Amino acid sequence: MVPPLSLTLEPGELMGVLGPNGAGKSSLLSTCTGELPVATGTIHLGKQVVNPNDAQQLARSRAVLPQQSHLAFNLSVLDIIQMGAYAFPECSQDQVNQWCDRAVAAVELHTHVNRPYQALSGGEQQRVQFARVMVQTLAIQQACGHAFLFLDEPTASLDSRHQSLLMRVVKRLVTEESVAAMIVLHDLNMAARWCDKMVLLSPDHPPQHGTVSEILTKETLESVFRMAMHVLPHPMRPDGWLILPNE
Amino acid sequence: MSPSHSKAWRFPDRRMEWSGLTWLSACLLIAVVWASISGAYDIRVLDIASWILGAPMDVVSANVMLNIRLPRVVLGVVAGAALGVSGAVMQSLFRNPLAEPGLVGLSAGASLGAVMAIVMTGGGAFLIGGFAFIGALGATLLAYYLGRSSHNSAGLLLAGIAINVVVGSAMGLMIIQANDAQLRDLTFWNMGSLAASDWSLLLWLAPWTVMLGCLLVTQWRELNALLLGEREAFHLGFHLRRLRWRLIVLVALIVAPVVAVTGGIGFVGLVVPHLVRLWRGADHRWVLPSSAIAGALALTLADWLGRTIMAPTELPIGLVTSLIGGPFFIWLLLRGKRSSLS
Repeated sequence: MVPPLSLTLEPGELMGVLGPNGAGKSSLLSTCTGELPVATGTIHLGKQVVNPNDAQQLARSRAVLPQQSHLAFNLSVLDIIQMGAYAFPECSQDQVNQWCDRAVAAVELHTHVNRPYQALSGGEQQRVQFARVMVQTLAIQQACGHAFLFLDEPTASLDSRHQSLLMRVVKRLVTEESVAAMIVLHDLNMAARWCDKMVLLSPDHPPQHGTVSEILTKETLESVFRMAMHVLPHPMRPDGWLILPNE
Repeated sequence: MSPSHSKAWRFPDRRMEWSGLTWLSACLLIAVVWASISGAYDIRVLDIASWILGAPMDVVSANVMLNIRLPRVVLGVVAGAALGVSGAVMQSLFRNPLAEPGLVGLSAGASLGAVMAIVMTGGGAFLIGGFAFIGALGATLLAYYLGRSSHNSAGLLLAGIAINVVVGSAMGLMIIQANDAQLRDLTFWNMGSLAASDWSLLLWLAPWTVMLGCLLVTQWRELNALLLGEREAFHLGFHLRRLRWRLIVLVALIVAPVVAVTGGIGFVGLVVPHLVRLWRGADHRWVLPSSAIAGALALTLADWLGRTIMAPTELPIGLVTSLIGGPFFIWLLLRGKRSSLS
């Protein structure tokens, strides 16, 4: 269940969705992507109202990276990445190839491209799914100029290097291609490092949203996560924060 | 993200898949010619060649060839293509390698519809076809709704078993009331046969199957997306309820007339798509047309086998496909246990 909420996400912004388990983070994401119906109010992606019945229009406005994917039969990595362009059948194969090229290079998949998907590790599979979503995002950006990207804990199965790589790619899409992105994260430090805005959901408190500095305060975090936290200025980054649970 | 990285790999050559399709088509052509000339009554290739060039063929050969053998072979091609492509679609729709028209109960539903039409209304091709379609559609929907909530094969297969049992009982009731001649006909129809073929039948069945086959092939993107899961298919732009309906209706439309004409031919839709995927991968751009051609090839060969292996006695084609398909099904189940299929 998602509590009543009013949010605006601008192109070029990365919004983090945080909160304890069961707070409704994935439900919020699913509502924004059109999977779950809205009880009251409306959701707009750009000028379009989100209509769960118009799957094609939605796919031409927003791309979604789920937490987990399971493939029924074995496709190659490239087959899956190319699916990102399925909502754009009018695009030429050359154009699709260019997008795939960029996506493969961005997540360092060039040695895995022709391998069967089921032969990859969990982390590699997650990067493949991200590459697919990136192709869809690039296609949307080209078609209508403003793309929306939704990611549900995209770094969960990745090692540190690839977590950092993926977040950098997302941030670059947001800043260089003016993509508006909403990302569900568990890691508060990752959120502090990469996000511009935040939404903090809680089962016991009304939702809060604002800039990173407004949300990431000791009092707010302690009341939502119900554990002692330290919020310190980051030793390496002048405007950054370091959040340490007090264990 | 240096440019040199992007040149380290290349897009795969689609020519591999095209050559696969060409090979399959060539094999099918050879099989059709072979099945046409070979059988309980052999027709020599030379006779056919000289007939094509204008020389008259003896009456018996001509009759066997044109009125018995050829329509039967063409029906085998049409039925095999329908069963092959529908098996491929069902496996992706249900995201389950064990799905096929027979196991899921679609064929049973069609059979029940056809037999009810014969018993209750006395027949007529369109009535039988129409009842068969309704039976097929009802059975598939039931299997889908019963089976979709479970995360493994069990629900779907149980639904298929239930439907097959119900239909079996209904057929049993009809068998009790049948006289000896009807009994024999019904028994053999149940085991599947291409013998009921003639040109007036093929005149509508062949174009119908080709048209529906082409419609199914256009759904390759949707079916590829379904392999990622229903949620992902939605994210990629496909309206799920409409897609499910579309696929189920198309499959029922293509399989029902075939079952109404040929009776129950099982396992083609199970085995053929599997082998096709093993050979060149699961991309439906390739799998759908290949399953159609390979299905046609399989049924043509199975029918030839049934006609010749115990000549002049004819083994019903459904029996031949079960004898080959049954052990394959068991092998699939064993393989599935070892991997994380179910």
